[in-house]
This record gives sequence, C-alpha cells and structure tokens, in this order.
Amino acid sequence: MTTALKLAKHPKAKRGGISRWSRQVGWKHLLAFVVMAYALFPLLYIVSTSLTDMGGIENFTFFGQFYTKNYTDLLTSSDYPFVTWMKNTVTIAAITGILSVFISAFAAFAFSRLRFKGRRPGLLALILVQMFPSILGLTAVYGILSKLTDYVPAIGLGTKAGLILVYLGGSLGGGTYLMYGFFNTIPKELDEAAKIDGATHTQIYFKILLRLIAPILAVMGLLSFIGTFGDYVLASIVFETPDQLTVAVGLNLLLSDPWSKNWAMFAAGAVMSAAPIMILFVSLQKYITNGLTGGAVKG
Amino acid sequence: MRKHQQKFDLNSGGTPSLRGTLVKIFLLGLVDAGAGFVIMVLFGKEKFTFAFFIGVVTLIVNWIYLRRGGLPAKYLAPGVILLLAFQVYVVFFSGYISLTNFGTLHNGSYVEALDAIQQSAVAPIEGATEYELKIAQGDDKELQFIAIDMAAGKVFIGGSDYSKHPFREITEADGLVRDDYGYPTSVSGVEILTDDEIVDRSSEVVTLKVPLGPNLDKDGFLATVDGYLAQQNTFSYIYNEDAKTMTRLSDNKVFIADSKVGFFKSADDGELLSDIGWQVNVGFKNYSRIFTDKNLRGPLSGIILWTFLFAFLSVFTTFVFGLILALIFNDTRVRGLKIYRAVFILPYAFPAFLSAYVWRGMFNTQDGFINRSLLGFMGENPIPWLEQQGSARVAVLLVNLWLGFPYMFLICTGALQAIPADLSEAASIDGASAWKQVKAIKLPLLLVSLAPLLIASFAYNFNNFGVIYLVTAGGPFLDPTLEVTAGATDILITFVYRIAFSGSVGSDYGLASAFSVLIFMLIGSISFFSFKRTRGLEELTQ
Amino acid sequence: MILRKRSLAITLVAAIAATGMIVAPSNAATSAAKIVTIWSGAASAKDDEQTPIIAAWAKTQGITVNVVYKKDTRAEFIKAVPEGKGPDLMVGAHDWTGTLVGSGTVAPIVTGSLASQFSKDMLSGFTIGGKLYGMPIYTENIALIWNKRDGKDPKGLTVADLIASKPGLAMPIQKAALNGDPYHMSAFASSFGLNLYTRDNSGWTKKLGYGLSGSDAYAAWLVANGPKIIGTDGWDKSACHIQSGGYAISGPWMYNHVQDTISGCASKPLTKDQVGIAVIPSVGGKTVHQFSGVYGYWQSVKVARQANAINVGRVLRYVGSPEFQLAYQAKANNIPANKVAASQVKDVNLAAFAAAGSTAYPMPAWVFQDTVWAKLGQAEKALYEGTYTGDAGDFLRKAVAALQTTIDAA
Repeated sequence: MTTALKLAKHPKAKRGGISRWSRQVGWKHLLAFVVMAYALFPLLYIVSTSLTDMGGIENFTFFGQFYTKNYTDLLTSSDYPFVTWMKNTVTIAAITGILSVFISAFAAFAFSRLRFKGRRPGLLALILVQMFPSILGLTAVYGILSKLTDYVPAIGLGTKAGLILVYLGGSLGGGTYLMYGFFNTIPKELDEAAKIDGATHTQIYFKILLRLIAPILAVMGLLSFIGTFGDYVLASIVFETPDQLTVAVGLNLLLSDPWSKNWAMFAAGAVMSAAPIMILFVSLQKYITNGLTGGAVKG
Repeated sequence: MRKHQQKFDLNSGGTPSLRGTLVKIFLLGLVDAGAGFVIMVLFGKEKFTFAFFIGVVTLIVNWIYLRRGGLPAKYLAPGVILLLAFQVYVVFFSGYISLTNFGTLHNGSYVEALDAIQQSAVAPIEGATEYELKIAQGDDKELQFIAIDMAAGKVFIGGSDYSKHPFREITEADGLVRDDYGYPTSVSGVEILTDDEIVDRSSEVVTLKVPLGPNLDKDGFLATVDGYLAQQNTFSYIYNEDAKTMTRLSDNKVFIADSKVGFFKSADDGELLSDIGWQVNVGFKNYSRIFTDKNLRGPLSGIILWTFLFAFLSVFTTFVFGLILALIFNDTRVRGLKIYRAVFILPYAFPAFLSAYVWRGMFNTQDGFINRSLLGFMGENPIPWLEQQGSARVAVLLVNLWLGFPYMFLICTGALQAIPADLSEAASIDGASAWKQVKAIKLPLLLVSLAPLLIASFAYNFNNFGVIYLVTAGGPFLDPTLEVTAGATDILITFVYRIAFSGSVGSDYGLASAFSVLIFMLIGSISFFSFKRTRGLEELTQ
Repeated sequence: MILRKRSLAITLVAAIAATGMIVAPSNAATSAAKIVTIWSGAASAKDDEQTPIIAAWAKTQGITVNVVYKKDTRAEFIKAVPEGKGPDLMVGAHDWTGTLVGSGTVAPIVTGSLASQFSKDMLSGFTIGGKLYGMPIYTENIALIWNKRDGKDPKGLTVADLIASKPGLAMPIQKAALNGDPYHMSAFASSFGLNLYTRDNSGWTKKLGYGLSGSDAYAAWLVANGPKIIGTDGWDKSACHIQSGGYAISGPWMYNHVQDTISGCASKPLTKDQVGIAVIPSVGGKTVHQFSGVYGYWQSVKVARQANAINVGRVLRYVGSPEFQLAYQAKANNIPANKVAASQVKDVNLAAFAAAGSTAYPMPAWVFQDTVWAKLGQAEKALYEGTYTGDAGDFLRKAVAALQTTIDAA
C-alpha cells in the first residue's frame, strides 16, 4: 500500500501546466465540492434549523437566524433532561462498545486460530441469524426483560445493564466476521513462536494478538458505539422515566408534541448529540477505512 | 491455502500464570454468585423449572472454564450465551408465536383472560342501597364488612364465608357501640381495622365478596373498591371451573372455553361471551393464511417485488456512487484529500434516525427545503414527493443513497488500497487507459473482496425497517379499497410491522411472526447461496 | 500439582458464589401500597397539566404518584399488563376502550358516590357490555372558531361563504398525516347524512355509515373543495390563520392556542373575548354531528390483586371529582366531564363549544376502530388530494365496502 502511495505522488511535479492539472486533478476538486455539498446540506439544514426561533410556519432560509435559545433551553430544561440523556447514552454506548469488542474478539480468535467441529457452519450461522427481522422480535425481548425485572431487577426493564445485555446479544454477529478476517491476516508463525517460548493461549491472545489488532478493536468499538448511540427501538422498550432515557428516545419524545414547537429544539438536540460522534469519527477516519475492509479484503 | 495449514494446538502451551488463574476464578465466582442469587430468588417465587435451567447453564459455564482443554468453548462461551439468550431465543420465540393467535384480543394466558372476564362480570344491582363501610376481622383473621345504612340507621355484618359469618343485621344487643354520628366504634367478637390496616390489606379488601344470602350467585354480594363504601353486586355471568364454561345469568346461555379459537363461545350459535380472549395454538393457520388469503396475497406480490427492487437499488446506487468516488479520490495528487474524505463520510456518522427525520421534513411538499429552496423554480407545481408512488419511492431511495454511500465509499477505498500496487503499475506500463485498468483489474478484484459485504448490505436493506418507517411509514396509502393496508413504499417488513401492531382488530403477532419466519427463510437462503457463490466466504460453506 | 490447583480453583469459585447467596431478597410491600403509577400520553411534564394536580393532592393523602410519559401509551399498556408490568392507571381518549377491554388489560371501575355527577353521554364512551371502564375527566368537540377582532360573524354564512371569504376556512389537518383526518372531516360528512356507522337506539352499530345515500354528493364536494380547506401542517398555522381573521374548524385546544403568541405569525394573539365560537354550518343540508371525545382514566386489570388497590381507587375517584376537574380546568381550560364541575365553569366560549356540540355523537369505541379511522381517512385524503382513481363516488363506496368486509370478518 505504501509503495502505491509513493508511486502515485510524482505526476504533479512533472511539466504540463494548468491545463494538464485541471484535466487530471482539477476537476476532482470541483467534483469533491459537489459531493461535499450533497453530504453536508441535510446536516447544515439541521444546524441552521437549530438556530431558528421556529414555530414551523416561517419561510426557512439557510442561516437566516442565529438564535441560541434552543440550545440553552434544552441544556437547562427539567422536562427534557438532555444532559442526563447524553450521560446515559454515552455510558450505555461506551460499555456496550467495549464489551462487544471483547466478546467478538474472543469469538473471532476461536474461529481463526482454533480448529473445532462446527467452526465453519458456526461462523455462517452467526451471520445468518442477524438477518432475522428483529423489529418483530421486540415482543420477545420485552418478555425476557420483563421476566428479568421480576427475578433480577438490577438487569431488568428500566436499567442500563438490561439494555446493555440486549445489545451484547447482538455483538457476536456484529463484529466477529470482520475481526475474524483480521486475525487471519496475522501470521500463525507468530503464535507458534510464542508457544515455543512457553506462552499460554491466554498470553498469546492478550499479549500478542490483541495488541496487534488494537487499532481495529478501537474502530469496531467506535462503530458499535455509534450504532448503540443511534438505536431507538430497543432503548424505547427498556426505559420509562425521563431521566432514564437515551438521546434517541428522548429526542423522539420531543417530536411527539403536536404543536411542532419543538422541531427547532429537536434540531439543537440532534446537533449536540451528533457532534461529538462526528468529530470522533472524522478523526479516526483512516482507521475506520481499514477497519471496515481489512478483514473482508485480506481474509 | 488453508488446507495446507499445519495442525497447531494452542492447548499445549506453557503453564498458566497465577494472576491469570486468579482473575479467572474471580470472574467465574462472580458469575456463580450472580446465578446463585437468581436461583435463590426463583426458588423464593417457586419458579423451579426456571431455577433449574439457570442452574444447568451455570454448571455448564463452570465446566467449560474449569476443565482442561476445550479451548474453543472458553473463547466462544460469553458471546454464544448472549447470542442464544437474546437472538436465537427471539427467533425461536417468533417461530412459536407464529403457531398461535397472539394479538390484541388474545393477549395473555387463559388464566389472565379469565381474570379479566371475571372482573368484568361484576355488575352493581341497580337502585340497591350503597352502604358505608367499616372493615373488621374476627379471631380467625378473616375480614368482615360492617355495612351501615345511614338513611335507615341500620348496621349489618358479614364475611366472605356465609356459613361462618352470614350477612345479618346487628344491634346494640349484639355488642354494637356507635358514636354520636351513628358509626360503629366497636362490635363484640371482631376488631375494627384502622385506615392504615385497611390500606395494608388492600388486595384482600377489594377482592372480598360478602354474600347477601346463602347463594352468592343468586343473592348477590357486597364489595368495596375504596374501603369506605360497599356496593351490592351480582355476577352477569358465572364460571364453572370443572366444565370451563361461563353461564350468562340474564338468559342462562352457556359459553364454552373454546381452546381452538381462544374465546368463550356458545356451542349453539357461535356467539362470543366477550371480546376478551386468550392465546391458543392454531397450528399452521397463520402460514396458510399468508398463502391463501386473497386480501393478503393481493398486495403482497407488489410489495415483494418492490422489496427486492428497493434492496437491490439501494445496494446498487450506494455501491456505484461510493465506488466512483473511491476510484476518483484514491489519488494522492488531490490536495485536501483528507478533508474531502472526512466530509464524504459525515452522513455515516450522523445517527440514522435523526437523518431520516430531517429528510422527511425536507421532502414535505409545501414547506420542505427541497421543494421550497432547491426546486423553488417549479413554483405552482411542486413535486408531491411523499404523496405519490413514483416520487415517494425515488425519495426513499435518495435518502438511502445519502445514508449508505459513505459506507460504500469507505469500503471501496479500503479495498482499492489493498490491491497490490504492482498490478496497476504493470497495467499502466502496458499503456492501459485508466478505465481499462479499472474494468480489467480493479473491479474484479474489488468485487471478489467486497461481495460478502454487498450481500450483507442487500440483506440489511431487504429488512431496512428504519428508513422506510421513519421517512414514509410505508405510505402514501393510495388504495383504500384494499382490505389490508398496503402503502406505495411498503417493503415486506413495514407491511408486516403494520399487521403486527395495527391490524384490523389491534395487533396480530401470530400472523406477523409467521411472516417474519418466512422473510427470514427467504433472505437467509438468498444470502446463504450468495455466500456460497462468492470466493470471499467459500471456505465457510465448503 | 495441576490437579490440586484445579480443585483449589473450584473451592474458591464456590466460596465467592456462596457470598452471593447470602444476600437474600427483602420484601418492601408496605411502601408499595402507597405508590400509584400513571401513564400519560403527554409529551412531557411540560405539556401535562393534570398529573401535577393529582400528585399534589395525593401527597396530602400520603400517596406517591409516579407519572410516566409514553409516546404510545395504549400499545405499551397492552404489551406490559400481561407481563405483570405497566401502570395502575392510564389516561387517554375514550375510543381506546374497545381495544383495551378486548385485550383483557383493564378492569371495570366504580364511580361510587360520583355516579350521579356524570351524564349518560360522558359514561357511554367508556361503557362496553354495560360495564363502565373509564373515569371521565373532560370532554371536547369541534366547532367553528372565528376572530371577533378582525373577522366577520359567521352567523348566516355557509361553508361556501367561509371558504370564499378572504381569510378563508382552515382545517387543522396535518397534510403529512398518512391516514387523513375523519375526526375533523365528520363536520362535513355528517351534514350529508354520513356518520362513521349507522345508529340505532343503543348507539353505534357495526355497519358503516359512509357509502349510503349522500355519499356521492359528499365525495364530489370533497373533490371540489378539499384543496381549498385542507393543508396546514402544524397546528400553529391554523392558530395564525385565526389570528389574522380567518375561520377554522377545531376544538377547545385551538381556542386556547390562539391566545398564545405564535412565533413567526404576523398577527397578534387574541384575547378570550376576541375569540368567537359558533355552530359549524351544514354543507349538505343535514344536521352536523361532529364527534365528542371524552378523556378519562382506565384502571389496569392487575390492580385488584395489588397492595395499592385501595389507593389506586382513591386516586381514580379523585380525578372524577369536581375538585380535581375544576383545578384542571383552571389550568388547561377544557370542559369538565363532571356535571357539578362543568356547571361552575364561567368561560362563555367553553359553553359555546358545548352548545355547538349538542348534536355531537361520542366517538365509537369498537375494537376495530383504529382501522376504520385509518381506512376512511385514507379514502377521504385520496379524494381531497385528487389521488383517487375512477369516479369519486364509486371510489368512496368501494373503499367503504372493503372496510365493511374487514369489520364483518373481525
């Protein structure tokens, strides 16, 4: 990969001038601006909306107003405890992200390094079981959590732990296959050498393999974090009182007001909740590219 | 390649470190402590099967981690247990529900339905005296009502068992003491409860039925809802526990608990006692309905076609767009590449449910940003985006393109960068044009490596409930002459969701579950065979 | 060595596990008797005027009231109750009663000493099979709202006049609503003699009332006039329309809302005295029968077996009392369902709403009611938006026939 980058670097240094530059590279900048406009305009629209004093009846103009009250209102509202929602969501998403990465890394290690009966069908079944239309399984999930509430209230309805458990149920299917691909890219000779040095399987796993794919783990964790952050469906069946809600459920509540007064406030909430993720996402962009493809490509 | 891989046993490694063993013991101990606690609670609530089940699972977990060897199980157990509990269980549960009539009218078990019906069977006797009430208990701790008829100045007492504490009038001769207002302050032989004691025994108090005569069914009974007033009631219908029948007293009609339909039903004319039913097994009725009910089948073929089209076009448009971008911008001569890439993937980072709402707002015909600002030149004839079939379908595809192209851009970029440089270099030395390089070398390689992800993406979009539901909710519903609502942008899963949660009589989980099992089989087998045909996963399915 | 270590490990695991078993579950039954949970469909405490009043009263009685705001209260209630979950009481509009009763999740209630304080109309919406399932709180119906400051008295004007007048006639119908709005449209349909169902002595039958004679005329009227009156997304627009001198067919909520400042609306809010409430003129010549809706509280079927049963009953009867309904009326300005409370309300406009609704019918509460709302709404929407196919009259009749088949099969 590095060689490719180096090789591609030189043409601009060659002679040829502006016309050649615009033929080869210039139009790409133009295109990039068009694509950026496409990618950005819904986002700018929501940022702009969040800065309006909108009762839903004005003519909308891009950044026609800079009205910050929606933000301050939301941050101080006792009916819509946005800060609490953020805290809840970040807690849940972070724990889910970390644990799910570990769970799927464990499984991916087994699939990649160990040989056992049912390995291949197991891996395939993992992928296929994700295809069950889960929206209809909600009743079942509610049933499980409801039973847990009766017997182990600490992980039942209305608890973060309960919701995290449900998310973790899907963690195997989420990242195992991609991570399996990454484990496969690490030469087996490495573990063998370690074994000869007297390392146990746990030491090989934790001290060698996990460290080698650490950036990938971070990316998978981030993706899981984002997925959990944006989940509405599961979170909405688990939580009840306003201070328990996640951002997704809480913002939905904001929208259920028939007078549509809350649209601008909703937009402010959307901006505030999405901003940290987007910053994180963009700054880890390079790793994410590898994280999504490396396993599949090299496996 | 894998076939030549040498056997390699990780089990026979070095000896485990003390720290590792201690961590393991501690974690396992925690799990056991938790399980032990749950089992105790379950025993306390007499849920023995459930307790036994938890016990067995716990034992298996201990066995996995305490025995020597069995390494794969040690690594797979946490994920697999969670997977079984929350995903595999859900699949099987849906399979089970698809064989029942579970829905709004068959919402709970027989016991629950019976409870609701019996609570509904209590009818106040019209015009009968309402008594003020004191509640007392005798030596046997059984509650008795002291009913006061203020207008007549009379006091009565009675308990739930007519043979022991018959409902009768009492006077001072029976040891009744009254205060200045006429309320009893004490009655010999019983102790009058305080308000707090009454509240503490709420459930007992409100469920107490004090018969007005030897035959509760005929003579009626006293009951209270608040502990202060007692009404005279009768039953509208009476349950016979042995025969499992309800008899309606107004006309003595008998309704049998019909375990085929889950209702109390008259054997004579099929009349139902009430709308309250319970869950029963209906065999494959839900499945046969899907294949034979013409009202379902009518809209279904169109919906299935659109589902495939939607899933295919979603993958196709996002992939082509993402691929083109990746090819064009996999070029380090372009300055600011990092910034461009970062902006391109922003839609992926924005929580999807928020984006869907934003897009729905933007597509609004009158006030939406798209018609108002972007297409303002169309003036009096704006595109009714979400109100017509064609434009609504285009709209959801456009939304999905926006949501999905960054992912495709990312994976295509990654895959392109993984193509060995010497390949394209060799091609460019051969004088192949850029397009030829793409067509002959890059595309085939890309497709091979990305095929599994494309298949997964197809499967995901096949059941992409969120986008459709949040943007159009399956609408517009242009054909109200259909008996089963089917919207212009409905894909299978949104159509089924509507059946599940808002069918003609509330929800119909049974039918919806049958649908979801069939959808699962459909998309599962499509994916299975597609995976089999791709090289990326071929080793999985050999 | 290894063996010994292994057995040691097992012992240790067992020891840790044992400490967990000692923590026995404790019983907290006494406090549960004093907690009453209510589910409300309000978006949040901010939009909820009633539960704070209840909670304040309950506190004086030593009862703690927990209010939970749910987006889809009814569906979640039906799901939760069989699992032994859900609230003790739930508030909503009476047309849910059929579904709730059918799902076996609500129990009949006893009004007790309040019985004589409710008119039959208030109770009938909550009554199924002769049993009362809900405690009525307030009632509402739509009427013609106009602006006394800037508008012309609609007395003697026809709907055509109202539409033709410069500020026009607005219906606060969400244009984006997929299923139309038969509730508001009943103001027109009923004037053609079309009610949701036909009626007999006991009230609504299960036979649809649309598609009968008058149906074609109504369909034609919708096609011709729909575009002129429909199409205000967001109720703020209707309020602004009234503030600028227009007419609207809406309910007491709109009467309250036109007194608020609508951001972005050029016109000023109206005072109470500047709002006029009038009878909806008949389009088709027959009497207008709009719907009346009664809001009330249902009680979960599981309450009877709970420790808090008596306290739940006390809260339930409190919300039926004049004391509560007047306190609520003072906050939310609605028409109390309790006669005693209603008679003490001095607001002339609320009285005018009640008078305009004297011919209103209570919304039907059949178990298939949702489907009927949805299907008829879709048909009406297709007509006034012009997306119907074929002849307008045929189209409506076909839709009604299909719906009737669904009802008969239910």
